Amino acid sequence: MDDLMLSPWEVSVAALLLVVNVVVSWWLRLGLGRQIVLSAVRMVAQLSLLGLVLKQIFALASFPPVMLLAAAMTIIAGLSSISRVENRYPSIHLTAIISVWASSWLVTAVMITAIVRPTPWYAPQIVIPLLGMVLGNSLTGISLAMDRFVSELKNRRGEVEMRLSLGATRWEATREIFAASARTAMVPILNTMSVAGIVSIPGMMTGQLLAGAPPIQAVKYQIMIMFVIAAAIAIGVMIALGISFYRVTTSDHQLKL
Amino acid sequence: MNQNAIAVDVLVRASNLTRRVGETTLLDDVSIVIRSGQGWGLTGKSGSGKSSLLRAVAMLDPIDAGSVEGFGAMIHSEAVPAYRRKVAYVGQRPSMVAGSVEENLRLPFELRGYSQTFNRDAAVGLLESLGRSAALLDQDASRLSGGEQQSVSLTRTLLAEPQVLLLDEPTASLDPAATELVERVLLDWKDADGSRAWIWTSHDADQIDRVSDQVIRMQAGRLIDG
Repeated sequence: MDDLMLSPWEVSVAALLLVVNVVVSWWLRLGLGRQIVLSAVRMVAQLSLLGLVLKQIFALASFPPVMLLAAAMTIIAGLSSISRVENRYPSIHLTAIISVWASSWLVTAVMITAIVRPTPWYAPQIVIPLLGMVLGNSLTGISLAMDRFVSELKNRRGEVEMRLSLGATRWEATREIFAASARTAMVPILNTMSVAGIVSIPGMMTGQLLAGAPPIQAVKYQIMIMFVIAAAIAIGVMIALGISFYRVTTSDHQLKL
Repeated sequence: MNQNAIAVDVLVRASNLTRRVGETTLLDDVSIVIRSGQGWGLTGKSGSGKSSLLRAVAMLDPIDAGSVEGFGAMIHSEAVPAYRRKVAYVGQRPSMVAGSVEENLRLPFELRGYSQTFNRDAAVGLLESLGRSAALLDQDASRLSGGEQQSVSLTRTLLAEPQVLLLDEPTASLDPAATELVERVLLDWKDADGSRAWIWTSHDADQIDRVSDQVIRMQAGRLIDG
């Protein structure tokens, strides 16, 4: 596997490719040059830091630091899930963290206790990347769901209040919007699943193949992780929409936005 | 009339309603009683709190203080949907769901706890008395004119057989001929059963004269006698 080790020199060859982006930006006057450089610098800094943290935690291989890192990743995922959500309500940050946390920890727990079964069960080189993959996907779903739900409730307020005025319960009045938001949130993972292996080789499988795993083994892992990710998104979206529903309506069947 | 009869006579008793949004007080300790057969006319400048009062009586907005009693019982939580069926708020701007006019008119009958079924003949009758034809039923509700939507909205509310109407400027977007039809249909509706009542808001003093037997005025979130 030595030929897969990268030298700093080899990494900087890849970085040179970024120059293509800068040239295109300059040529088409996209005004993206600054942003491209900034994003690249951020990416390098963040991943280097992650590398250092992972190196330490892998070396320690003890329970508390693994949990600490997992918790930090989860909270960051929760907060970033609403960073691009324009339509908010006061406690939306808490909703995001709770739903990201509950969904991804639940499915990751199932994965490590019933499927992957590492020893020890908190083995960081297994738990951290698996959790990271689940978090990255569930935060997108949760973000889409909440944004759609709150913005639709605002845009279609007249319709919701008309239903309420006719005697609908808060659930009857918002059910359609709830369902549409859940559908929106599931679209990306459903698309990913339906083109998996045709348009691209998914990330986890790519990693395993590069690391020299047999293709069938890599495929099994990828199928497993797809199911797990889809489940995490579905659970997270339901929790996020469920909590949001109770936050934006009252027990007197009113809209509170 | 004995004490008991008076108590039954009161359909809705809204007490000390107060609603604030940020620094603005929309409703300031407002109380109003709606009795059987009563036609309240509610006037006041824009922003004086007329809509806020109707919405608070319909319990559509959270209130900061006060209570609403309907048909002898305090109204809150699970009792609210059934209360709103009997005390129906009709907003200024009619709201339609995607689909045909008939689908829109069927909405109230698809809700849980509704025993009545959709009566197509009654729907056609109401639409015709509002100057619309039966052909409207099959049209796409979202493509109707504002006036047509208002007719559909009123028909939908009346089909659901409420006892009290909270009418928020129901003719504001209508021409004089359509306004006259709406007034006639609603007055007929109220006269058909002595227990029916409403609060009708309007900027038009002549209309208020025609549709109300008692007038109240609002100013800065407070009630002033007519």
